[in-house]
Amino acid sequence: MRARVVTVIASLVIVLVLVCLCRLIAGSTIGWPGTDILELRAARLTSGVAIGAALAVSGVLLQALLRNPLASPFILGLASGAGFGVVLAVYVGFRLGMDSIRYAPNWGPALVGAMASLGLVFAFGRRRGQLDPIGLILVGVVVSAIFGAGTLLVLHLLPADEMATLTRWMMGRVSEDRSWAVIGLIAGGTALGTIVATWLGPALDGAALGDDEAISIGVPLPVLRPVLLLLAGALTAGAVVLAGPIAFVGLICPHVVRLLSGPGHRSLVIGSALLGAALIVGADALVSSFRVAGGRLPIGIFTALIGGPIFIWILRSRWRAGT
Amino acid sequence: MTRLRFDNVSASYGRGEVLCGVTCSLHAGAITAIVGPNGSGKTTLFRTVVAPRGAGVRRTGGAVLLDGEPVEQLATRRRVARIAYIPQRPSVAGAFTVQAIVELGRYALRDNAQAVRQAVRRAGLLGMERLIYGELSVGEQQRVTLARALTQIHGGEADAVVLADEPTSAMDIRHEVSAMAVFRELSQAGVAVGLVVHDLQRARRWADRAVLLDAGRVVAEGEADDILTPQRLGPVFGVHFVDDSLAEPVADAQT
Repeated sequence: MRARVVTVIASLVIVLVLVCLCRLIAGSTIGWPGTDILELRAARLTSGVAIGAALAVSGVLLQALLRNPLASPFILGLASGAGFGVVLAVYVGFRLGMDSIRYAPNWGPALVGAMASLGLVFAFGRRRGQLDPIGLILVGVVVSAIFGAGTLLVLHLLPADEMATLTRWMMGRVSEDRSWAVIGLIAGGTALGTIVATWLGPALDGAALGDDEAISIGVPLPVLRPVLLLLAGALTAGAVVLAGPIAFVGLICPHVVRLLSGPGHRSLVIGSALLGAALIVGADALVSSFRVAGGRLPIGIFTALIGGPIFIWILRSRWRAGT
Repeated sequence: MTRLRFDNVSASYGRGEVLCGVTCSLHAGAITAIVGPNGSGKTTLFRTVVAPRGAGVRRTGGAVLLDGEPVEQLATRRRVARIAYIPQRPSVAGAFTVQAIVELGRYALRDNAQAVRQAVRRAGLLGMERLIYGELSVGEQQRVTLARALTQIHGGEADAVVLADEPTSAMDIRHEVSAMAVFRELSQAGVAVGLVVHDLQRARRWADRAVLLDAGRVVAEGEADDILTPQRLGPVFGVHFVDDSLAEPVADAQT
């Protein structure tokens, strides 16, 4: 099993390196770019790695937290909540005439929005005090829809040009407007979050048992759960600030890695981070190469087209398994 | 000798008390059967030990003492090494192997490959280590949970407590007998074994002591032969027994 895990992780590292190289040479012209273009592409590449890794690791954490393989930042409404937080902050900045808020990365409001979503899902997704797998998903869909509607409402209160920019962002695309400082901060935060999640791997394995049994073997569930909640929210918020809400990355990556390397959470976190990064960077390279919509096609379209059918497949597999 | 003492313990799931001032003990080197009708508080009694602030249940009064020390004051490693819990319905999220689940018994303790190997053998799981837990029958899953508990207390049996909530309810007769033999070996090694059980004949066959619960209260506690009698059990369960063997109980007429 250990050899299999090492092989999978090594393969994913190679895939990510190759995809990153493709991203650097892909654009309106294919080939190694000049310094200015290289810097732009390197920024998008770094953003892509951070976005993909953050969403995938967040997915792993949410699935462990809720003991539900269907959980992900998008399905549970975290991404929509974070998106609403950002748009609301832009609106507040616009109304108050405060450009420092209006054009800021607004990581804080994104985090508050993500945590609010998760709080609602936790509060209403329970049945007789226990988290109900299907109930959580249904409540997540509703919460996501409510925050989505709120986001649309706020967007329509903004000037037309700002509304158009934010609408494109809401469809999920790697932003070109973020400074290296913001990208570096979020990429660093994502790396730190991934390291913490990897360190927590054995505890996440123990949390796979029922609550009482997990506590009886020494898993500190009352402490672990808020930590996971905060970590998943922070990772999602960072990704949303850089790219808007991107669907299904947090769902697909843990599932694929689980199939390849097994359920152990240490390898699951690392593998999912690598695969998520490769997925987003690869999608961004494709979008930039094919020049559809001037190379500005939202990558959220790709992830939704791939992730939607996979989600249905997982759901049906679980029904067939009677779970 | 009293190993684990429930001292006037009350517990609630939010609406009304499920345990109302329960006082009873598990003795070192003895199997204590916890018996009572559905809803009498047997499972809740164990949950007040392993998860006093766990999902749903809340201990609202009293204390649970391990050799005189409140269990919530024990350091995690000490608690884990001394109290193992086998739940009524074990569940595992994810495709973990039997081996991985048994190894979780050492999660908070020092890795011990020998403990894992011995537990796997004692629970009759040799050759099944690589199977996926979720694909096993419920009876087989119960054996895996037993092995996990054995791994947890390995090396410290003389001071340990095992709380087993209907641990053999889905096992076939051969594995049930094997599992009960393991509990007997544990008690002979000094473990205080608490066993929630519905089959009253088997309780009398296997247990040294018994605690009879009804509606969250202790009705009787003592030697198994004194407690598990038609005279004591009949009124609590609403049945009468045709003879002292506790076979073929007949339900009392509804009043």
